[in-house]
Amino acid sequence: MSITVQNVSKTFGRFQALDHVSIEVPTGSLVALLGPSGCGKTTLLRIIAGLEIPDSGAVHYEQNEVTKSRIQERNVGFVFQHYALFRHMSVFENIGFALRVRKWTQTKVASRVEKLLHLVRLEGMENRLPSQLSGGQRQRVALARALAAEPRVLLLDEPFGALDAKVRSELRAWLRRLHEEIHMTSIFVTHDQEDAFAVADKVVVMRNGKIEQQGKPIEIFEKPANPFVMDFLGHVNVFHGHLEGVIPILTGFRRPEENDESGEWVYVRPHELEIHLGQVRGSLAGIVIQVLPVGGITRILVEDPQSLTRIQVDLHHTRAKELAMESGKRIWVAPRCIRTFEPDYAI
Amino acid sequence: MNRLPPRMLPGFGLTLGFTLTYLGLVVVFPLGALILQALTSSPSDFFLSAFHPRALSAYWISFITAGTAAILNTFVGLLFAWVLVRYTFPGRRLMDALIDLPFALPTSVAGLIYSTLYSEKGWMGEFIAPSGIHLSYSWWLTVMVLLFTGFPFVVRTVQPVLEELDGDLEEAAAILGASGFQTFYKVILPSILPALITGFSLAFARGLGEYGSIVFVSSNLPYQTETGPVLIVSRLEENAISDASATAIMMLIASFGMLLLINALQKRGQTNA
Repeated sequence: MSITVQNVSKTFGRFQALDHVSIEVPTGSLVALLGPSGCGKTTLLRIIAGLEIPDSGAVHYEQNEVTKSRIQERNVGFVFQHYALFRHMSVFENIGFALRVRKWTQTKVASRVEKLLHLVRLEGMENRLPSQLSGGQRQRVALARALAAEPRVLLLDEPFGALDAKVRSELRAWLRRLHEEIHMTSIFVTHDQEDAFAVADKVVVMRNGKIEQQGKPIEIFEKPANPFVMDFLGHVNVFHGHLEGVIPILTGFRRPEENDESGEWVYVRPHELEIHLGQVRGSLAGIVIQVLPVGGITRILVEDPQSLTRIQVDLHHTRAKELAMESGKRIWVAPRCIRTFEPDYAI
Repeated sequence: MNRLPPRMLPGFGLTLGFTLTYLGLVVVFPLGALILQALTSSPSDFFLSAFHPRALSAYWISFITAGTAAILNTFVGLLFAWVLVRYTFPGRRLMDALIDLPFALPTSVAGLIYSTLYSEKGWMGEFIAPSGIHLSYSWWLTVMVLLFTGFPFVVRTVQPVLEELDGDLEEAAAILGASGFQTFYKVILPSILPALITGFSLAFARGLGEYGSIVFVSSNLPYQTETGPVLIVSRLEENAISDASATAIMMLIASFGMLLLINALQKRGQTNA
C-alpha cells in the first residue's frame, strides 16, 4: 500500500513540529525518516499511524484519505521505541493481542502466533514474560506483535535506538531481509545515518520540521542538497577554496571565529583529502596532531599552526604507513574533490 | 544469614535489631497480652463467649458492612484516581487535597456529622424517614460512614501506579485494534490490579476496626446493628473482660486471615502478571 503525506503541519503549543511536509512512500518500499532529535520525524510517523491528528494537510493510504479516521480502523503495524510490550502478558499473548481483540478462535491464534514466532526466530519463547527477554528479543516480539494482524503498513519508531552496537547491526540486516521477504510498505524513524543507509530504499532527511532532502541513499550521500545534509551524514571539513578549471584549490582553513555567511566555503569529506609530504598545487600546510587507527582506515587529525583549526583526514591503512604518519609531522593536505553550496543553505 | 552477600551500607545488625525490637514492643507484646488474658478463662468459657450468638452476629455485621464499603470504595476510588491522573480541570488540586480529609479528621467527627445529617430529625434524615427507611436502625448508615473513613485508601494506592503507567501501552493497544473498553480491561486493569487490591484490603481492614464513627451513627442494637468493636467496648463496660478479649481474639484471627488471603491473592496476581 502506498502512503502519501501532503502539506502536513503540526504545532505543539508554540513549537512547530512539522511545517508543510510532503512525502510519498511507494508500495513495498522501506523508507527511513532521518534527522536530529526534535526535527519532527517521530511526529510525522505518529501522524501517518493516526496517533496524532495534523493541524493541516492530509494523509492518504492509496487513494483513501485517512487523516482523521480512527486508529483502530487503519490497520497499521507500529513498533514503539521502547517496545510498549504488555508486561503482564506472555510473549504468546502479546503477539496474539491483535488477534484476540478481533475474536479469532484459539486454534487460529495459535497457528498464526507460531508462524510469527518462527519469523522472528523466537520459537520456544512463547511462555516467557517480556521481563525475561533481552532487548533484541523484546524488539522482535514487538515486531511480531505489530505484524500479527497482517497490517497494510509497518511503522517503526527508532527501532534500533535502545540496542547495543552488535545486536543493532544484526537486527538491521535481519530487518532488511525480512522486508525483502514480506515486501510490506515500511517507514522507520532514526537519528542514526548508518541505520538509514544500511536498511532503507529511500531516505528522508529532516530538520526543524522540514524536509531537507529525500532520495535514494546513494544519491543523498553523493549529492547532498545542502551543508546540513552533508554534515549530518558524516564528518565534513570546511575550507576557503574554489575550482580552477577542474582542479580543486584550497586557499585557507575556516577559522573558528568565521561564521557560515562570511565567505564561500568548500566542503570536503575526510576520505576525499590526500596527504602530501611536500607542497602541491592547492594544498594547505598543517601539523599532524593525532594518528588513530579506526577499523580499516587511519584517522589523522591535522592542525593549522596559525588558527589552531583542526581538520580530519581518513587515509587507507597502507597509505598512512607509507607516509609514516606520526604526530608533530609537518604535512600538506590537498583535496581530490570539493563541494560547494548556494550560500543561503549554509549550516 | 551468612549466605547473604556483603552489603554496601553498614548498620544491618543495628537496623534489623531495632525494627524487630520495636515490632515486638508495639505489635507482638500487646497482642500476646490479649491472648494471655483470654487464656485465663477456661476453654469452654472462651468458646461460649467467642461463639455467643450476639458475637457471631457482630462479626457478621462488621464483615458485611466493612466489605460492602470497601468494594464500593474500590470502584469509586479507581474512578477518582483516574479522573485526577488523566484530566486537568480547574479545582483539580483542591479535589486532590480534599481526598485526604477523611484521613486527617477524627472518625468521631465523621460519626457526629453523619448522625446529625441522617438521624430522623437531621437535614437529610427528615426527608428519608417518611419513606419508611430508618437509616440508623439499618446497616446502611454504618456502610455510609465507612465509605467516608475508607475513601482515601484506594485513591492513594492506585493514583501513583496510574501515573507511572506508560501512555505507549494504550496507544499500542489501540493500534492493535483494541477498543477503549478492551484497552481498559486487558491492558490497564491488569497493571493496576495489585494496587487496587492493596487499596481494597486497607479500606476493608480500616472498616473492620472502625469504632469511633459507627458508635455515633448506628443504633448499636445487638443482633441488628452492633459491630465487633462496638460489642467489645460494651462487654468492657459490663466489666466482662474475658468476654471482651475472646471476641477481640476472634476479630483478630478473622482480620489477620483475611489480610493473609488478600496478600496471597495479590502475590498470585503478580506472578501471573
